[in-house]
Amino acid sequence: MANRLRAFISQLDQLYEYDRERVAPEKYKPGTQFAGLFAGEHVAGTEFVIGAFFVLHGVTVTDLLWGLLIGNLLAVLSWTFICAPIATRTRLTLYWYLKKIAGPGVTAIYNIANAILYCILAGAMIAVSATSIGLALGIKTPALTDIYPTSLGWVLVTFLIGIAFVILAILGFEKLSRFAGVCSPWILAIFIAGAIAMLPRLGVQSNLDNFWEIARTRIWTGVTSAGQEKYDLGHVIFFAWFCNLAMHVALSDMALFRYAKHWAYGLYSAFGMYPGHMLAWICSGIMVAAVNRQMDPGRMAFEAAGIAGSLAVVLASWTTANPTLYRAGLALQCVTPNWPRWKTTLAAGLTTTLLSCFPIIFMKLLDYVAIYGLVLMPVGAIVFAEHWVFPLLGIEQYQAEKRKWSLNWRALAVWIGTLVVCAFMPVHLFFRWLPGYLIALVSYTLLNLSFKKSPNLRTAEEQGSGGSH
Amino acid sequence: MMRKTMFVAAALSLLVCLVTPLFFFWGSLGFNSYRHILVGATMGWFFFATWLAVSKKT
Repeated sequence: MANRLRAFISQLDQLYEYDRERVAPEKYKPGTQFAGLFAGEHVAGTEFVIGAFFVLHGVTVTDLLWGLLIGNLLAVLSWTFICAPIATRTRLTLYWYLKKIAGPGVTAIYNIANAILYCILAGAMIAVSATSIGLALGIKTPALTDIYPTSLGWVLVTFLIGIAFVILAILGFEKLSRFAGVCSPWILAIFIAGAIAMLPRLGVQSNLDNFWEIARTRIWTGVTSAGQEKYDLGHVIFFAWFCNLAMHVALSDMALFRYAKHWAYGLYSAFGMYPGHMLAWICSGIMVAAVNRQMDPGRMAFEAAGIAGSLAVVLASWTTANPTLYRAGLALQCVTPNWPRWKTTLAAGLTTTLLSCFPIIFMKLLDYVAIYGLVLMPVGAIVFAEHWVFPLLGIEQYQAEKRKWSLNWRALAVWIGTLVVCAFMPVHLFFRWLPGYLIALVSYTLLNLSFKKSPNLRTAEEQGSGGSH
Repeated sequence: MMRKTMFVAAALSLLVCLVTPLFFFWGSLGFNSYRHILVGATMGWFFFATWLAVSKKT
């Protein structure tokens, strides 16, 4: 068992070997590149679903606007004050930093959890594009309440799209990434075009005099669709905030911000949040209202923007599913020693394709996004405690690295314990991560209090290190 | 010069994608015309922007 674990760890280290070193100052990137990267990454196929779901969940227009403004601001601030400062001080990826803190065993578990979560996310994107291609082939999109596949046609379409996505992801990840950069401005343009074109159908006059009235009474009416729970301001704020929780609070984007010249570059995330997670969600809300609140992204986009709309759904899903599948394959390599990258991507892709046949994957997308962030959030809290709180309290940092532990049991116990507590919290799923984060932060710190260094040792270490980082 | 031309053409294609629905909204364009122009502008965007992306790499 110990040998197998060592083999996994060695395999993992080889995978991430190229980013083992701290990023050198000459490799730092200018702020404009961060702005471009965020702007391109946050207009995905799932935006067609998320904005539409707010309408179906009975969000009012004022709750939506305030919620998205505040929630996205909180997300930007999380990148700026939580993720970017740790990344610019350590200049390491989360993988290597977590390894110092929690040991390679916890890092391996983190990778596997991440791979599974990535597969489900990519599955949702395949299902979204299936609604578009299925429309052209006359295949009915499953209903909101469907859990299992509703027809053989739906299974075949999702399966074929999944296979196509997987083959393309295996064949040329880098070329496709460049193509994704070409697609993103156009996808946002189609969101805006589709929403404008649907305004007359909703009764908005060409001078926009009655726009607010229509928005209030025909789009974000505050009335839920059948079988949907009611969302209010708090739900919208928290959803917009945790939508990318894995990236900011759970620190995945350390990989990105280690190239930033300054921690304030976290503010560039606003270039992704406000167009992608505010404007695009508002646009998809308008489109779904114009098709009588039918949750069918393919039909919605086709009716609003014709063939260009259908293409936008497919490309928005594909360009986001592609790196997601690639990352899942990469993360899975830790449990498949000696497998080439194409084989792990294929395995991840086939799992994803299978999952995408189940309509629940995208019909419960908002809940899944919440769970995705929740599962990884304790890791962010552990790293935050170790990086900021431990030095303040004089607790020894990086014990796993110094003592060559393969697994930091305290970190693992806090991760699992936090998730168990979150599972039983008597509040809505959307609101559980924040108390969970605080629980993880405090409990990890308390469990490590016994490693408090004596004041003399601290002074000696501080003088010796000369203020590292 | 060629790159500059392609950049302007790509930007114009994107602008057409954004402006066409406004003309439909104001009533000076029919729904089918709007959709057709959108497809045309889309093709233009992908042609010019892909050319720019490829030429940048090479």
